[in-house]
Amino acid sequence: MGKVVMYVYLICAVFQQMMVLSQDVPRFKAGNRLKFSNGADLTPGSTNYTASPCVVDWNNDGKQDLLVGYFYHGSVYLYLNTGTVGNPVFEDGNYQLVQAGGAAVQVGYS
Amino acid sequence: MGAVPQVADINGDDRFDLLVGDRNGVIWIYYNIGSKDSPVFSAGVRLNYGAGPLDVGANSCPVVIDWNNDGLKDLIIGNESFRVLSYINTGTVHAPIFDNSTPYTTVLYSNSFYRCHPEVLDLDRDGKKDLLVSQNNGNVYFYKNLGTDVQPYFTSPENSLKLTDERDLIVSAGGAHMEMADWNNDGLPDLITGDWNGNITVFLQEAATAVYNDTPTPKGFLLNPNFPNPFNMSTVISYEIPKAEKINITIYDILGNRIRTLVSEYQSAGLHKIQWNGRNSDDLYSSSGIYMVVMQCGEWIDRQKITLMK
Repeated sequence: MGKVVMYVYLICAVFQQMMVLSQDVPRFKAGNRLKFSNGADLTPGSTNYTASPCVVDWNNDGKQDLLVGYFYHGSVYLYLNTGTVGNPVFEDGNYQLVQAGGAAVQVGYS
Repeated sequence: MGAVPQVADINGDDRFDLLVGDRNGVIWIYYNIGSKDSPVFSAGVRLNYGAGPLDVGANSCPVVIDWNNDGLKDLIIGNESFRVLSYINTGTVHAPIFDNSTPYTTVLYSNSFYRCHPEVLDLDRDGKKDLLVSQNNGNVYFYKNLGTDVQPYFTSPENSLKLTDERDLIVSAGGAHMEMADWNNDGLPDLITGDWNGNITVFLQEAATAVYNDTPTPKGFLLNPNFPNPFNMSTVISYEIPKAEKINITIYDILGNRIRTLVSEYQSAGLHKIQWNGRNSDDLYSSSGIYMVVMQCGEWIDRQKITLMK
């Protein structure tokens, strides 16, 4: 009996999950690749491999800045927003390696 | 190699710290010893699980979130092969502990997962935290929380996030990492993705599809869950009123001290939104922690718990 109840519950849960996207979940506009103000792609170089973004107000100015970790480097870069909260702007060349303990953050094989 | 950054105040000192997941599956913590305006980080230390390093196998993608609503920051971590794991904090606000006293568990498993990057938020605005998982193939999947906010529960099948034309949202070039944050300051969470080529792409949420934008004149008073929650810079509180009334919306700390009055005026019927930037009535930043939003109109009153995390 317990098993039957469990299966019914599971089937209901799967059905509920399948119906999810019909109405509950918002849609998204087509993606916009982030650029520097000069139109170049927002990267610190040509060989970056996978990028992992993290939004943060780094300098407490009320505007979102961007931290990006790169698989190839094993390091984290900071891009400071010089625009506004609603319209972030990243000046070309304005990025820096995040430092910790006096050296650039570097993770990975060791 | 491999670097998946995340910021959160992990030691409760009111400054955000830096966590970085790496290729080996461990997580490095860099404590912020600087100021609020100018963070400075001490050398990295590995996050421990019990006596040894917390290790999820390979390619750890951490998210810091109060998973079980106990006021402590927990970790939800995606790994290289198939899993999203939860690590519950059994320590304190100032000294988190992850160990076998509350063993880590698998939140989600799928053998089609590869290099999964999780995100946790209430995307369908039903008051319960949901799970998003991005994949190496460029898909971003949504998992509705079928449990409670305190005990989330998820099951397959996965649902890809959709674009406005109902095509699947796919991060071109694959290798997708992602985070949700309000990029254009419209109060809606947007999707910020990274890809295999090192580019960052932002997918703005379509406002017309947001659940609470479809509302006609509401039938009753309603205080919606704020977004984002937890929040870092600011959060938007939306609420509905059925007829023109005097509305009071006030932020209190957990001891009941009034922090800031956001609304105290007559307002028209319909959906309203108000932003709280985490500042108190003296315009100073409030410290990290749990706060209450209290909405009151005559004898009607409702409360929401919100979490400020820096």
